Amino acid sequence: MGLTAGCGLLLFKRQPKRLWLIVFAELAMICHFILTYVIFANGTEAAGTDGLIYHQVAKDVARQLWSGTPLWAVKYEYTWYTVMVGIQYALFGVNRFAASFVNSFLAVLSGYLLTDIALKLNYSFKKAAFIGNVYLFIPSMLVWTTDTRKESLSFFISILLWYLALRIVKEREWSVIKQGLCIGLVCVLLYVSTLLRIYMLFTLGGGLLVGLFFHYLKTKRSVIAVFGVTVLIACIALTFTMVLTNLNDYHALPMDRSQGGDEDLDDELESIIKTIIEKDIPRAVNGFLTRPHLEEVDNITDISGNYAAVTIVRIEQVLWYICMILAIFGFLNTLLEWDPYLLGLIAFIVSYTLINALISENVADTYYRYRAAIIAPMLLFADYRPVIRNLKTMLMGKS
Amino acid sequence: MHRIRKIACMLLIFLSWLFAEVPALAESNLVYSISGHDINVRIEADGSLEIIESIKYTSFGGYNNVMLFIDKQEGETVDIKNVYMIKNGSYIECDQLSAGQWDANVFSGTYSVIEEDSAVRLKVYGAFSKRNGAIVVKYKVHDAIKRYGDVAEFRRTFVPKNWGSRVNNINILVSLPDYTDTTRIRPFLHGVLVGRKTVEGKNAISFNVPDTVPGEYVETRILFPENLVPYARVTDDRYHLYSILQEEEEYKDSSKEELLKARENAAKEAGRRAWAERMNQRARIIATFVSLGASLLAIFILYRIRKELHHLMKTPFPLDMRDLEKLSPAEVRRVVANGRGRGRSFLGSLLHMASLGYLKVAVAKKKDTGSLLIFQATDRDSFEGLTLAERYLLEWVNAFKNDEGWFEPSALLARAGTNEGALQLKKLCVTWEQRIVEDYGRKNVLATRLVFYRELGLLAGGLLFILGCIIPVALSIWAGYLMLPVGFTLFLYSLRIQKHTDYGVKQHRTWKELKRRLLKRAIALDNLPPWMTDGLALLGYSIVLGTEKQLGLVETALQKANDSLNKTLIEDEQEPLSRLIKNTLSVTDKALSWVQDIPTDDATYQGQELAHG
Repeated sequence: MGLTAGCGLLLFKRQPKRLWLIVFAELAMICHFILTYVIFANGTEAAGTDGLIYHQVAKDVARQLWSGTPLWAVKYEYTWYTVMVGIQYALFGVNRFAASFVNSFLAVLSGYLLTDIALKLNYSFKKAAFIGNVYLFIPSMLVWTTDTRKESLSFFISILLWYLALRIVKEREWSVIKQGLCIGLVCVLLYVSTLLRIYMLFTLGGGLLVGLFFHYLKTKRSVIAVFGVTVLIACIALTFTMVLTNLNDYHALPMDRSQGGDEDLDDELESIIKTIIEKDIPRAVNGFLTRPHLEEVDNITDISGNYAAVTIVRIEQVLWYICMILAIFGFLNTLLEWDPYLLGLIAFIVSYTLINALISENVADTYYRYRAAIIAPMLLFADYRPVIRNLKTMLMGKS
Repeated sequence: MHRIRKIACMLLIFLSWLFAEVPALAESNLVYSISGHDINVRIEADGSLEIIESIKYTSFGGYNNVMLFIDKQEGETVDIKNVYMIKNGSYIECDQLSAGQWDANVFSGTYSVIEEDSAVRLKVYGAFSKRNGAIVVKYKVHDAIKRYGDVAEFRRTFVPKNWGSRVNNINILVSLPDYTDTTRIRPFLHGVLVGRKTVEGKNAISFNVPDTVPGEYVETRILFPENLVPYARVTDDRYHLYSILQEEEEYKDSSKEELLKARENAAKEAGRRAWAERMNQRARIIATFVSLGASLLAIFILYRIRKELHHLMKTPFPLDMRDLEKLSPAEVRRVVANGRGRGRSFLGSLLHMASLGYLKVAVAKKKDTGSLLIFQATDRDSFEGLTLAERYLLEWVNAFKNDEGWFEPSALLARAGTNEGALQLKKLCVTWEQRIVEDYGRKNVLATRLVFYRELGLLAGGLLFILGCIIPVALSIWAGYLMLPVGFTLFLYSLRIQKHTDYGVKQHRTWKELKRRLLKRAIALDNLPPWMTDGLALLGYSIVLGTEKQLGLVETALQKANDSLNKTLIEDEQEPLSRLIKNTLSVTDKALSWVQDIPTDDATYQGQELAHG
């Protein structure tokens, strides 16, 4: 909690009203802690689904490290996140609570970064802090980022990547070395995101490239061109070295090799295309953006029968629908202003939505969990006032 | 204002209802149900049970895990032996999720066991993405038979009361350890209104329940001679037959109100689903027609606006352009390039002001950028002949002058390279551009009729864009997406309607024609309007029109003026005029482009004035 406060003070040192933001962040940490104890009330070795699996794999990773296996030779399953947790277990002992607390810290840090992104986009402090706090306290975010799931790290990396991209394009006084280091870090984050979720390369990389392309068209700054070309090279390299080589064994894709369906890459790609063609695309998009529908919420296995949890998720769903409607105004404003950074974010949201709608299983709780990744960028758009203000300004000069 | 807020709130509530409710109608059948539940129970002589449960799921919209509740009473232990799930048409054995068994892919068939006080929760993980899924679970329950002095009792719940979905075709077959007289076997079935219990033979009893709804449950109870389970632990050596039969009589005579209520609720739910499905179908059909109709209507509005704008036929261009209406260079740039290339507007305006005597021009030699044009404000007080934007630019030149009183375009570049300077430059740019729009707007005034069309177009376009985002997602229809591009096009077209007015189109055509003639050297100085024939003014207009590579006419005009500056400009062999313009343009364009990514905050920029010095 001290670290959370320290990070808040450091990040918002120029903001006079930062104290409230930090107080709310601490409150969010406390919520995370309480939730951790509730989730693990029946012990850490039985609770959860993915979180439990990752915890068990991480223990195995820790055992390998203790037995002298070097880090690069460690065998792990499902996701690279298990190695991260495994390293933590190896260093500090096996403790799922501690791993969950690290996730909570990353979630709060993501909230800070989101607030700072909003501030750097010239939003008022009130609005930026509101966005950050919604991110911190939205129930699904609390749940997905508390357990030993990879979501917390995945969201953090995604937000950090967009944060760095914004800093690189905004900061005019940085030295070439600093710019180069940050661009390099963005590429590393793309690599790590791909390790965590294979398709993140295309959503994050694609969104960044769209943003940088329009940015370059608008400003003609050489640093943007260098940044864009570097990201493009990184994306191509990662596609061939990571995505295509790991596609067969990626557990979240349908009909992979381990299911005995396909034997080679062509078959795997064919099966993915077949899955997409078989889908009713508007219905799939509907599913990804709106499920679980209100009457479906009590069918989610993990919360079924828990009246309080069901009610909270239902309220969150209604708020999410309102957020989506408000975000439409933000999209319209971005298109009017042709803001390259926000256009990049829209590209990220659209590509992430399409990929998940088309490839993910048609399962309400899977959609609910996967969708959490676009909550942060959507919050940046959810305001109807800028478009009205802009229209007013544009029309006033023309009447 | 309050009323607007109220309307906005109500609209928001309605739209969120659309998201929340309509998809619910659309997906009404996706809650899975169990189409078949076969249970085979073998009672062992030691009082334990060997059970095989086979469950088939239908209407499986997709799931990655299923849950099975296994009844566990006090003193019993449940031992899961095997779990199978159907995959690619055949059964595969699932692995239990526990330490040391992490080599299997979790979603290709694994299970976890969670022990609770009164049940064991078995979760099977797999890709249940097809319409049909099935699992088979083999398990053993130790000490499940209660052995009394006169009778042995088997009592188990197979479908719990809180099971949330419908279960169909429940068939339970219980085998006793040994044969006995059928009259001594007494089966009972609880929790459902319709169901059958049959003693099949001397050692088998079957229970058949056609279906259960949420709120019902299936509990089986069998009384049989206690000597059939000789190795079972004795629960109580007193006689219990009478009291158990009395309990059953009481159950038989009970009103079973809860079960009736559950059936009633299920019927209502089925009715609601059927109604919802019908409504959803209707809503989708109506929305499809509405989407197509709205898109066509928008296209019609677009057509009407265009027709309204272009009712005059195109007229041929005159050979000379002496009567050309005067626009400032910045306005010309706005007309021909929609404001793109701010550096050109900027430099063109400066040169135009120099031609009017508000600025002095000189050439400064720079190492890094090459020779550049530099400017200095003159003492002229009046602003005659200047537009609002040019007056603002004049203040700008004064504010950015160096110690010697000259404004160097490279100073802009230096400012654009710092965060604070870039922000300031952006603010200046926004205000300057607003004034250009104002200047041009005064000349290109919309007629009342066009204002009506503009507002109609904006409203219809904006509404269509919003509906194009909501309807196809909420109702899952392709046709709805058509409203997105149509709405946005209508919105943008209406917003930029001034570009398409007769005046706007005429100006665009005329200045494009002038550009063509200048590029092809097909116009003489005498054929230009008098306010453009001055060398610096013509240079400024050439720059905004993008014809600075053909400077023959400009040089002629400069030579005519015959002053020292003009001579410097055209006679310097080391830095010809074209290079001088190229260098200056490159610097101004770069500086003004660099700051375009800074977000616009109109509240901040409104009425932005320059601080001198």
